[in-house]
Amino acid sequence: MYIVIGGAGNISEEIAISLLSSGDEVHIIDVESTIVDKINSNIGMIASKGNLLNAKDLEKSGINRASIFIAASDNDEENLIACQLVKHNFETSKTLAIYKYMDNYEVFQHSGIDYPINITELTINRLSSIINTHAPITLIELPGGDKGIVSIKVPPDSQVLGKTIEEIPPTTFETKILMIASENGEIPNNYEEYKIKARDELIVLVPKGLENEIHSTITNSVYEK
Amino acid sequence: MRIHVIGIGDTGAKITQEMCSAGHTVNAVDVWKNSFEKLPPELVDTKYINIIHGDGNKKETINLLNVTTSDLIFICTRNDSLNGIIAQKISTIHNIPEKNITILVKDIYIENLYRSLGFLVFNKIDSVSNQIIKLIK
Repeated sequence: MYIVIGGAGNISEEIAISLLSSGDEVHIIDVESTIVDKINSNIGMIASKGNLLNAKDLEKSGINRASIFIAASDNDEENLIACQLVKHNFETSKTLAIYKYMDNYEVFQHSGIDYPINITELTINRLSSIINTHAPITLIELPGGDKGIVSIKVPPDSQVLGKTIEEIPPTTFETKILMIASENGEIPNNYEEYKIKARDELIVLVPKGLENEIHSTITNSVYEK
Repeated sequence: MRIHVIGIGDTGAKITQEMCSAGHTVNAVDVWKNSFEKLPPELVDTKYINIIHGDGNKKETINLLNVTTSDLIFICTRNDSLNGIIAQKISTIHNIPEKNITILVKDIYIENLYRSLGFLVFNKIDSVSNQIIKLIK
């Protein structure tokens, strides 16, 4: 695929390297000659001087034959308008815009850009998947609607630390721990003997409405009585 | 009429003055406090000019503006793309019809883009060159 990246922002070079290594053809344009020179000496002659908001510069970059245009300058409004400009003037099949501020969320969602990517949102999602031990996350609702599979993260002070699955007091006979994944993604072979550690992810089959009970069993502190 | 002018550069200040002398009320918005010095001091904080100091590209500021009661919104910072994002933010979040928003631009392609989105567009460079051509002829 041929991909044009408009604006050499913080992550443009990394994006280019990753695309090049997967065999795509990449071209970066940026207004700053020093940045263009730096990229060309770092990863080969793939950058040229040009403004992502200038239709003629975009045309020179071969935008008409590009499968994707990625607007990746460090400026949200430039990325928004550049993608819209490309959509309005060229045959490029897809546009992707990177933006930082949540304040611009609605505008990017309604902009007609094919893939608006909010870096802050990605970071927040990733962060909450790492630190959130509070809520059971529903993974699947099973057919019939009376059971579901939830994921519960074990807090560092949990009363079930060091216990095996057998030793966890069952809330009902239907509740069943199906799988355990440790923090680094390892899945133990013999569940019966495995001793639960902090930040393990427990995948639990649970009747509807009883999610909070099993959740408190797993997340209640060892210090609470 | 109630008018909002976002971006009080030379153009924004001129539009504000002209609108006031036509008897309209103008809410003038700018992120830089010094910008308001371009406005006639005798009209500031009267029924003619109400100044709002804040970033016109922030929802927080836009919410303060009461744009739904506005008859006309001029967006005239010196940056084409900034003007475009502000215009789209106002129309998207507050459901303001695009035709009530006028955007100042310099680039002809960006001008056509904004027009295609339904906004009114005012090209500064075009009008200057038209004036010059008129003078020569």
